[in-house]
Amino acid sequence: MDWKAAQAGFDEALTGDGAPRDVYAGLVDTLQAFDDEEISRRERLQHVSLINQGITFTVYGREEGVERIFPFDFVPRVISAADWASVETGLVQRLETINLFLADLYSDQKCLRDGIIPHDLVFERGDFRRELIGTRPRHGIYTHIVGTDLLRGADGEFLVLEDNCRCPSGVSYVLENRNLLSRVFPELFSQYGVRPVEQYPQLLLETLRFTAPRGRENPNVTVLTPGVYNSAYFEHSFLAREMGVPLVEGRDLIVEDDQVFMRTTRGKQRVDVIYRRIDDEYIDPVIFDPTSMLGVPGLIHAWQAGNVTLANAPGAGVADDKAIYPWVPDLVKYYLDEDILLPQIKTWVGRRGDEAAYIREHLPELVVKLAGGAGGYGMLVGPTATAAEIAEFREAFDESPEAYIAQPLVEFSSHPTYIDGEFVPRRVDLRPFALCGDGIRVIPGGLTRVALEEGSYVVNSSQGGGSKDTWILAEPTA
Amino acid sequence: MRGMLSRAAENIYWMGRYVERSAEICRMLNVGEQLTVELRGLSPEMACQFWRQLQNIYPGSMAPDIEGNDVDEVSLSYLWGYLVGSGNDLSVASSIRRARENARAVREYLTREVFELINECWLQLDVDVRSAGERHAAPDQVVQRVMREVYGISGAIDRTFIRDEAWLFLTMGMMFERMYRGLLVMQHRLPILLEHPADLDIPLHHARVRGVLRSLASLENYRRVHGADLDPDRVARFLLFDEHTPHSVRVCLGRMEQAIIILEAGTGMSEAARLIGRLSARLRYEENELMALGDLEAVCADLVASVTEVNDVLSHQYFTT
Repeated sequence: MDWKAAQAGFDEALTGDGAPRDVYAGLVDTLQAFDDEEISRRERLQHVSLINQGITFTVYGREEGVERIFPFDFVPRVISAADWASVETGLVQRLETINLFLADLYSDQKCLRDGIIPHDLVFERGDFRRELIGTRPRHGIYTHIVGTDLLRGADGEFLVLEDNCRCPSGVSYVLENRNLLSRVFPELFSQYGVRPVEQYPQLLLETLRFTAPRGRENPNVTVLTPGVYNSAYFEHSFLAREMGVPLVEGRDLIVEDDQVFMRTTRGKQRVDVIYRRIDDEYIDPVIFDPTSMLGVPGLIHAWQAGNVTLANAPGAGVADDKAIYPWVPDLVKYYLDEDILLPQIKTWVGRRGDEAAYIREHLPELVVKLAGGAGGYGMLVGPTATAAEIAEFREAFDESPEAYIAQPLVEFSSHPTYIDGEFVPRRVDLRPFALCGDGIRVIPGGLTRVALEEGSYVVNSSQGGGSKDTWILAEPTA
Repeated sequence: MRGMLSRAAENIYWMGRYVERSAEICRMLNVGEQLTVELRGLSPEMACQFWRQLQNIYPGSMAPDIEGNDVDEVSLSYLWGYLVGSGNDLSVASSIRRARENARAVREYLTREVFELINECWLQLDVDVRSAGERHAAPDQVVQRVMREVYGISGAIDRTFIRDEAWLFLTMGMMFERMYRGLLVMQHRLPILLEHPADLDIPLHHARVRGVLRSLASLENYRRVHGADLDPDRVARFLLFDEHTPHSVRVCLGRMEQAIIILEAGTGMSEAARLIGRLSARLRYEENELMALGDLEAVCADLVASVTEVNDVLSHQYFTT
């Protein structure tokens, strides 16, 4: 069977001449032994398995609330122990910094006073919740569960694309993909020592319990979901089930005297820790969006009074704002006195004079975006833009260069993916998950999302993306 | 018992009701089909009457708009209407879909086996629903398949479910539905069989009595206890008061009573427990008094009213805290 190496960017499995890289040799060997018919049979099996198990996400749009499966490609991504070790160390450093930054931002704001990060930059961010200044969550942890999106650049080096410090999704697929692959293609594991991921729910529960309010011996933990129509409902339900805790909706909770209770068949029961999968904006209509029907009135006050833990803490989203991203290396230096270990995508910041000049001169090569924008508005993709578009954009840029950031277009890595009987290169990213509790623990694996369309850079599940199992190899034993 | 989320308890209670309901409707359709075959040449009116009575047994259901006594047309319309009929909230498809919606909402309380079987059942049925207009599949085969699948679901519930509070609510939902629907079947189908007109056609009469027993999964059980003598009075007593057959009202109420006693252990007796206990005692000790009234329809109607109250009190007590 043919294997095609990527023509552009780094190919994770194959070298330029099409030979497998060292860690992929065993896998390619094993897969070569399958014929088309056998692969088709197993693909059908995995499809039916996903459907029957209801491993779905909800797509919004034309047909409101249609359940879809997240396409799964059985060719696993393999990451060597050495490569993973540097990712892991880099993530730990990054998350330690982010929690120190958030703790500082919502208390003394030394980083602002010391000029590490511009004062107005932080204050104009919608995700910075100034009403929460002065609230310190238990152990000073603001973001307990983080999913950081990584890409591999042209030289194969991992780069941080963005952090997700609010309600990162996808970990259920990490576990279910492993489960599925080991059942449908058990042979693939025969030549590898793959580090397990199944311990995640237990570690998550430990993390949540660790952050419970003081004096709660046996804390009641819950997962808070917007409900069955939310796109990530499967994951909310999965995590509650795997942790053995109730999955609650806003209407199940009630706040009295700054204590949170859930409505049970035996009356009210106190809740100590809420792993909330509802965005800040909707979590408490008293403080944030008053029209929200998903939240719990009074929840933020209960949290501020120290009577309930919210994971992740409200206001944590400011740390993953793309306007803050360029400053993360400076924050690492400031809080830890270390150089950043896991590189970021080079970012030029319009509010820095010399960088603004660079952006202006290199518009045709850069991806330029409004620091506070979203959804592609106010964005220029230089390499694909026409001269007229660039000229028009330059005018807008000149009016307020401080509003923009710019990055090079990253030709991120590809991975062999089985499509129509062939192993063809498709672009992939990686979202490892980390838990911040009694220490920071990175789960050895992550969600590899793959752009299934040829040439596409879009890996999102809602836009034709799929996923793969991600193998982190154990250190070879002597 | 620690108490569970009220919303989850409600979902799981209703999941039990819908699972049970789908099995009951399937069985009813299956019996209807067989009766139609038996009665087609003898009394098409009687066969059509069987189908039309479904509206009484499933109050609020959307029955096919069909007149006359063309037995093939009537039976096929009712069969499809109560299997996958669009707009019929009391069809098999609607019941399975709702069971699955409830299961999705409380998946963390279910075992993987239970959820997957419900999900698979719905996914397959959904295909039938979508192709119902074309009517590719033979309805009797769909009915048979769904019934087997629902028995599979019940088996998975029995074999894999921890006996916790969720299971108690699930049991109460299933038992309630079985008992409630059984009473409606008796109320609307049995009284006429208790009459003994001079021109009684015995084979036809027996076919209808068998139909009642079979639609409540009790024909073989009845024969084991009472032999082949299909005396309607004995049938009524069996379906109401027998202490062993799983579809008798007494057994269903008894299981609800056991569930609520465990549920409320150490908390004092609630209104729901009192109601169920009182009703259960009636079924245990007042068989002769109730039958002596000589008005089975009224007895059943009275029991339907009482069990409806049980449902309301349970809802108020546990689901709307």
